Amino acid sequence: MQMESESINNILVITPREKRIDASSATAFKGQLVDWINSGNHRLLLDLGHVDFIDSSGLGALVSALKSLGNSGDLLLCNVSKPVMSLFNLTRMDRIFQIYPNREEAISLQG
Amino acid sequence: MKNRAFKLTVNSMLENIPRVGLKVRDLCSLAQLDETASFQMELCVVEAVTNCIKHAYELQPGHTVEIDARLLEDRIIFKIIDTGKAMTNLASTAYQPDKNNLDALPESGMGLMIIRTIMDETTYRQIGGKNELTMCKHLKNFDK
Repeated sequence: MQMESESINNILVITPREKRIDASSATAFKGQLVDWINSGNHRLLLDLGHVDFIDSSGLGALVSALKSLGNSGDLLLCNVSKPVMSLFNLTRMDRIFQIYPNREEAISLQG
Repeated sequence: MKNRAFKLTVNSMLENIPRVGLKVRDLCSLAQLDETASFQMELCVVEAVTNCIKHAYELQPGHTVEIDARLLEDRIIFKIIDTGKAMTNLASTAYQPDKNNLDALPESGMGLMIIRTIMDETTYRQIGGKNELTMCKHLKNFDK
């Protein structure tokens, strides 16, 4: 899965460049996130601005990454489209993930 | 006049899922559904097809998943058919995600719950050696 990453204010900002995170790509997606976490990155911001489709496999990958961080880190999301947000709403995962309207707000609120 | 139905048969490989999604989007555009409604229809079909590939066929390629979709005056109906292992646990997982209990968060198994939450009617039956999941959404029930 093609993803860009950059470090801003000690937060690893990750931008998937692919439009879909479904069962065909979720395993690779999860693997990359966990690799970054295992490399010592404990504050991650996932910018989903290019993503127009995620299914439960993609959501499961996010949950796996969150579990890998445990209480010692943060996995934040931003630029989640309204359709994709509906998945978080109906699975109640909007109570689990910190979701920001854009990366600037996410970064500035992290201090 | 554009066809208000499609029938698609795909090989049981996860790589074929995006193609299914695009066909669903095309049908939803005929119904002039908004982005969120179209996404939710695609999501339900994708979840169902993924379940066939992962569970009915245990990720073995070379089998078929048939998607039969129809857009009627007042509803949209999807039928997903496979010839693999039948679903035995049809109960949706009820859960209340708790951010203070990360270990209990599900990483899988949410597909059927998602389908049942979005769709108005969901039925599953076995007929003629095939497993058939039918999902129906009444167009008037899409959130505005």
